[in-house]
Amino acid sequence: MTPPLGTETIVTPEGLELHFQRATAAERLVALVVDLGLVLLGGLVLALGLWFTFGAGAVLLVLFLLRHGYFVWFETRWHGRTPGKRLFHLRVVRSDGGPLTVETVLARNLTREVELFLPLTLLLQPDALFADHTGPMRALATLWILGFLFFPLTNRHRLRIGDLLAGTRVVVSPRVALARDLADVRAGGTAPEAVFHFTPEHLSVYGEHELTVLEDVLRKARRGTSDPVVAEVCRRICRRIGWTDPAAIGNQHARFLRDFYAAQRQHLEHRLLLGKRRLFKVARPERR
Amino acid sequence: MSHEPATPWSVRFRRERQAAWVELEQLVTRCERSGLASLRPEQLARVPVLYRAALSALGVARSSVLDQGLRQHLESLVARAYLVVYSPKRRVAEVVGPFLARGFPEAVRSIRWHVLASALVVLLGGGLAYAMVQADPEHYYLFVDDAMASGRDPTASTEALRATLFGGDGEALLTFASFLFTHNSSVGILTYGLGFVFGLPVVLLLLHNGMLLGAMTALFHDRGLAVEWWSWILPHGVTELLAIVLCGAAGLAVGWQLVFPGVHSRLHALTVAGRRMGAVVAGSVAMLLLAAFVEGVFRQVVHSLPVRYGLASVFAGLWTGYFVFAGRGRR
Repeated sequence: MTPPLGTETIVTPEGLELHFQRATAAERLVALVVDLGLVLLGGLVLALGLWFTFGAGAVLLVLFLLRHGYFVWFETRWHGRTPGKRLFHLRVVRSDGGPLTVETVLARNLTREVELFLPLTLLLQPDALFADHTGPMRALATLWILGFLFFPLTNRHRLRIGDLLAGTRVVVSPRVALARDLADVRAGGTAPEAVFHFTPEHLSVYGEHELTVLEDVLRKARRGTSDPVVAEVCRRICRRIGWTDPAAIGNQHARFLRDFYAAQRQHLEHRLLLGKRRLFKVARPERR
Repeated sequence: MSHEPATPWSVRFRRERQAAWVELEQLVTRCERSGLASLRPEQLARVPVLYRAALSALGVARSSVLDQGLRQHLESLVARAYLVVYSPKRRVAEVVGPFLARGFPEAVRSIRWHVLASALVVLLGGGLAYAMVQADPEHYYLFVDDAMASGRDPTASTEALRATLFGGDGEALLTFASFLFTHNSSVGILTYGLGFVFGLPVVLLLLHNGMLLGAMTALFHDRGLAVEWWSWILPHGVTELLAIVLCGAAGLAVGWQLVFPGVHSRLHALTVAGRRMGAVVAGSVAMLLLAAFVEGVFRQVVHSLPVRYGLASVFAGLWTGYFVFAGRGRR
């Protein structure tokens, strides 16, 4: 099975490949902005509180610890999630499938000094970095430092330098609810008796791909009323499999498709168990 | 005539396992929201069992179940359960103790040649600046800018220079200490990150630090203040310089792996080095915290030369013993 586009493949220690959807640069940026906002807010509150009780020294120290500790603390405590990442269902995972250890979290977050805080200083307060330099030297240095900031856009996996050093990926936490089994009569929805019956000849036309499409049609079909899509799909299937009496279906299009889906799935799954796979309705030549 | 519609075998497959999947999903959802600790012991024991079962069901489903709804749900359920099952240690105490006792000195020993190289670069910068300032005091301004010098330049009187070595007002001690800590740590952490650019900026940073030290040493030696100067530098300098050298070594090691990855792929070598060196930098930051405290408080309060030199030797002995011997022997 080839992994779908835009996914990160992680092999679990049990040896099964899992496919995670890769977080986009935009998602990560927004999560980062939320996190930085929280750091700023927390820093402000703490700074005001500490300034009057302990003086400027404590403020400096706490801001430093907050700036670096925030990400390390949350990614360790919350399994690769910070409040910003959690808000957008993002998550840090190790590319080799192992657990996210403290040293991994440290490695990916210590580089923020170079990748984030240095470019941010440059953008907000350039004189703090090179007060004595002007002209081309300054432009070159600026370009060089901004290179770190935009590094994730230069590779397919959207890796920061920190991700590269720590061997981590940022993915979207998957969440798919369990949908009802369309072929299970006990799961409800349809009357238990089958109305339509199919012969092996009827079932030898379509493959797995068409079955998937049919499942999609049935899941999206409107309940109760007659859905024009269902009627049209029903007509085409009748024509293709050579159903002898299309007129007898009447307005039971949905019923017909449900029975056909169950029969077709049983047929294909039975063949699969015997090691015979049919992906498409006609045996397509391999694409070069 | 009425009989059951065709029943694919995967219908039975699902019926037999669905209860376990629902249970697993409830446990996982709870963990995601409030952590593993929120589960009761008997629930906790169920998680790996249910996870394994779901994992093997996914393997079967991928190869021979054609129900997309089922497959997509299992994919997401197993992925979520995997993240819960393979979650990291979460207690800080569980990590910090073994790290200080074993992990940190071991990691430092593993890059001893880089530490040596990094120390040599600092010495080289120091020696160069020292020689140049000796030859012509005007060169001092090349290495030390005005903000850093704050009056300690060749035009200052010897008395004024001596005063800087024993000064210190009680008020600002902690402020000074924490400024030193944050500044030095940022430089140290920066050094690690810059290792990614083949370690070149690391060498420059180390040279720069060495030159600063060398130039100022030349100035104070010139005025016959050598003993006082070193008593001012060494108590914290032993720890601080070592930490900076270690950060530099970490940066060099990362750069080295990038250029000479050995039998591994470049990416893999970088990751292995990156994780270990991140730990070295974290340990160095802890050292810098100690150094800043000595620099900001102890040095300003204690003016006796023997005590200053005594403390410097204690630190030197301590670090040597720690990095050479700690964490060896049985696990």
